[in-house]
Amino acid sequence: MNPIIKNSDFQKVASSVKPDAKNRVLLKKNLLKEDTSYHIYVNRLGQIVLDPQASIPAYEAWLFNNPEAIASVRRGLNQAAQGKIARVDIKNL
Amino acid sequence: MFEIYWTAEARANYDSLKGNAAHLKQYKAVRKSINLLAQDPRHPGLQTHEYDTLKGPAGEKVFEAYAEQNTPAAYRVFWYYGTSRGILTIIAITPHP
Repeated sequence: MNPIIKNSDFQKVASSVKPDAKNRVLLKKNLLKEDTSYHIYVNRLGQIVLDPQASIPAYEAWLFNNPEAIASVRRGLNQAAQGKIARVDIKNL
Repeated sequence: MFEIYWTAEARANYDSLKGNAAHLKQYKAVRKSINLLAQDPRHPGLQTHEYDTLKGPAGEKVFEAYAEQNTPAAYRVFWYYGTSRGILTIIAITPHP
């Protein structure tokens, strides 16, 4: 599968939509999230994909750019979700 | 005072520092930061701040605390308030590149 397409289960949400005089295509409001930006991709067939992008605060980006660190945090979160936690003996740390 | 819990991941992170003579300084810094978390999670030395991009298992706010400052590969402690009042859970302890 193309790495941009994470799920190929597309559903038609509108038919025969034409660009307006300013070449804009209007989308239904519930398709878009406020404060989300989009990368736009097009293939040789002229099919267009909008890929929503979540913005990450700059001071948090290091974690997501560090595979080992984010993997460790995700493992910890999964364990916490499964109740795999233990009390820390502060005096004998 | 908060009661501190940690995940198996956080404990493994901590134990890998504790058993490594080359990381003695980092081990002491992390141990001190855990003690500070138990006393006061908002202690200025921890520079605790919320992480917008992470949530705890029940949607809790996740925080990052600094174990060291102005140090290359400084360690950071990720934690959240819970599982109940007066308890704080450490998710992971990881170096900052």
